[in-house]
Amino acid sequence: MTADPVPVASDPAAGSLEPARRPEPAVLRVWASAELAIACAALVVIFVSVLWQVVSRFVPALNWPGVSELAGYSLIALTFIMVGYLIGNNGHITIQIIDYVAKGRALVVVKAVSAACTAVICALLVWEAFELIQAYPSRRTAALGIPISILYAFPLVGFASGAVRAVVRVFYANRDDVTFDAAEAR
Amino acid sequence: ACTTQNNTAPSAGENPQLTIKIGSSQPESQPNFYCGMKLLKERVEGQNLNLTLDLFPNSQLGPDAERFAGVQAGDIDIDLQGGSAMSTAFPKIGVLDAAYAFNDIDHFFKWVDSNGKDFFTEFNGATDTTIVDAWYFGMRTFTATAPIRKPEDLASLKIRFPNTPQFLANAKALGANAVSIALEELYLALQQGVAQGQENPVVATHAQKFDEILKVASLTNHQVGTHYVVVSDKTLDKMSQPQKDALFTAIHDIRAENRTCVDDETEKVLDGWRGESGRTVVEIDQVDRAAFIAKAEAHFTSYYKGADLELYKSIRATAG
Amino acid sequence: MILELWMVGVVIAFLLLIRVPVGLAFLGPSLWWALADGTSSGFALKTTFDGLNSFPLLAVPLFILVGVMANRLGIADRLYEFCLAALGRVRGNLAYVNVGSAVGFSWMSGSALADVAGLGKMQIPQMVKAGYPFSFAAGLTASSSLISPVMPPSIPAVIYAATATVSTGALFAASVVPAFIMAAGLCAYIFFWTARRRDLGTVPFDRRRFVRAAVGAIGPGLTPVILLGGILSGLFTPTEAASVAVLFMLVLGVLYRTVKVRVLLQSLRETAVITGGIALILGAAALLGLILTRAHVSRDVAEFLTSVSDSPVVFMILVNLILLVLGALIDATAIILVTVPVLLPIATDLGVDPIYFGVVMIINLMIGLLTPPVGSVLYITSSVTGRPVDQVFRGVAPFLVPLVAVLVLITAFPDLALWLPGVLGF
Ligand code: NA
Ligand code: NA
Repeated sequence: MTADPVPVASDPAAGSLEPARRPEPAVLRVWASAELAIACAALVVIFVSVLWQVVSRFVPALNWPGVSELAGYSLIALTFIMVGYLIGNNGHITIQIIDYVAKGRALVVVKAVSAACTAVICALLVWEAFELIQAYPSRRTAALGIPISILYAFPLVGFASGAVRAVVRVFYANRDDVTFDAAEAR
Repeated sequence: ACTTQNNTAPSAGENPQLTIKIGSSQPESQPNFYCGMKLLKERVEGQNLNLTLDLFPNSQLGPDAERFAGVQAGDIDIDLQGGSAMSTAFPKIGVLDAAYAFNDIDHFFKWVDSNGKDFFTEFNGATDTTIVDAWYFGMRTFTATAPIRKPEDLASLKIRFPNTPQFLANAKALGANAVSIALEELYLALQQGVAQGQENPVVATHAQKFDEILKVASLTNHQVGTHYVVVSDKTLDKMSQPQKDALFTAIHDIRAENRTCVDDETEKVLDGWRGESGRTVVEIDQVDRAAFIAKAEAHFTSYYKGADLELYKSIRATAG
Repeated sequence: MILELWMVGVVIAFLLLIRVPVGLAFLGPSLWWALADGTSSGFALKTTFDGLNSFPLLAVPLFILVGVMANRLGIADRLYEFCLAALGRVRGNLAYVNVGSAVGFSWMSGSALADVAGLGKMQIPQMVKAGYPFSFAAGLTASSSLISPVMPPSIPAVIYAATATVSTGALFAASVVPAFIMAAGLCAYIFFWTARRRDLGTVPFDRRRFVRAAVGAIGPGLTPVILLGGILSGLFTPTEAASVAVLFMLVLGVLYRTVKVRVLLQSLRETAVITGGIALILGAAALLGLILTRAHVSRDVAEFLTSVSDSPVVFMILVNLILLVLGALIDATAIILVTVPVLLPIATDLGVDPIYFGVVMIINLMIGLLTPPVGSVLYITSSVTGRPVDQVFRGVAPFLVPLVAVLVLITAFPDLALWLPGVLGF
């Protein structure tokens, strides 16, 4: 009775000649699994926390002011920790109109410039994260008292990972993109 | 209280051209906007000191705690802040929000005028922001589906309190059965009965339309609601002395006018409620204040420790 | 200042064009502008971070998870089998089922994002499997998901009501009829579209198949009853309902014996990946919105508006045009927060009802979710189907005709919105 994973007709532009295409170096693929595992854990925390808030209204003993804060910061952690993973796996949401215009070498140049811009933006955000960690050394979250500087470590790590991935993509610009399928995420 | 050793600080006599961004959570329909921020803009700009005040009411610049961090960073120049949002940076200020710590607004202002200077200096050292004065926001009271005259009445109702440690401590101190619901969902939650009440000043309850659902207002007046007018030290460093003087004087002057406005608006809303059939207002003298105060004091004297306890006791000692 | 903002827009457009991820294409130039504006270093990231820290947003990953689990645990298949068995003999059966299930789901969900992520995930592949062109399936699913944030409960309505200080209950009531008109508009479009598509298969009605399918669909069919019942009876809020829905999917999976650790883990991975892509854009849109607020762009727009005409009709036409443009460029929540305090006083001065104004604004901004460059529903549809955004938009474009027609209709006849709140005594 399990639903078939419905095959989405693959983009003919994507290189289907070499099926076992490896999008990233092995080190980064291991790193990606770690990022995805953290994001999944954050998702579980969101689910449990929000459900906890419901249950605690009927079981006052479970009332704990930290749950909604925990859920909120988990969504933030999930968002930032996935930045590098999605850049590395071609999984970010992009507008691909240029593909209809730029072909061959031109597309390679576009992809290289795009990856370079992505790397610069990620690097700027790493710097911002670093500044924020230093700017609020004593600030803590309202309910749980988590030092806010620890929370800024998520964007720091995520955008650093994104910058590394983007630099790799500059050098991989001449390779065909692998169409990313969220359902097959590893 | 602000640092002036910054060597880019202007010398007296020249007034740099500055645009001051002022944030607040209050919508434009509320006294703290039309009898507060807006007056401040008129008064300060009217003195031709090269100051322009740029008003951002209605949480346009973000939620309270995030805006206060913006004041610390200098991205927002002035903000109107309740104590609890700033307690993430300076926990002690949360004590001023303790239920029945202050008997009424007169008690609060008396304390600010005699003890505020030292307290705000300590605050400044910890946050790099300067509290110039406090503007009245209204006494926090309960609106619920049933009257609340004594602590026991609270136990049978699920009451929504803001989800910060001090507010939840207030709930405990008053004997309330607190539930946490995000402000964005509160109206719907009250409508569907997820919670049977909430606490806010009368004007805020009316502005957010919670009184459409909750037909019983109980004037427990359990907490003095105030908005501290807090200025970024980064902004003060850029201002000339005449500019600072004009700003500070205007903020102090507005305090009394703003309070009259809040009182008038509160009475206007209350009179509307009193005259409406099917709605109940439990008046101040119908509430067993002594029971509430005794319960709150008993709770907080064991809840607070160290410097917080000392502060709490010193406030209660001036309660008269 | 305004000049520099135009440059920010140009750089964002350039970055989008060369395929920089949308979230980062917003973040880079906004960060640059903020620094040039003299904000503290860290301002851009902090605003993005804070923009994500919102309780109602938690419904997004959770409803995505609901959709993913419904698909992987065989729950969606049962609903489909039932709908097909019931509507099989109607030409365009799956298309009508699409709108019908969107209406059903809209009573549980407050945002289009959660909807298209959940329902789109299962509906688009099934329609493609049944012979519909991808563009039609994606366009219809994306369009019908807009019913959710219009029909109560609605997150944009809650935000509007809070900003405009009007009654959320009245706004909810005012949204019901327009939401059904949207559904009717989409059905009308389907009717004309399928009239030319004789090739789309129909299935003769089979009583035994129908009964079997109906029994199999009892569990999934209970989902709206449990969620809506829970919300209406005050057991949980619309956001919290999302977590209850996840729990209910788990229960159904256990009953149908489709729950396996491997399946659950893969559901989590898929949801995390989809959420990560969407949430970065939501955070970046919060930054862009704050920058526009600080620069008073919306205020300038409003001042321009009042200088043009003092007729309420002209005003509403201008408001609609401006909101459609803003909706194409900016996140809807940011627009509500920024423009309502400016536009609403003008509207009330001209005698425009604030509840009616809110309904028009919400429908208008929800259409903006379908239009590039900033169209969250487009991006989610792209993400859950693995197809490029431009392909999805080509599918969506024809549906803008009935949707804009509905917007015009409701703008022209305020009573369509104001009738129900009047009847209910708001
Ligand atoms: Na809805
Ligand atoms: Na758009």
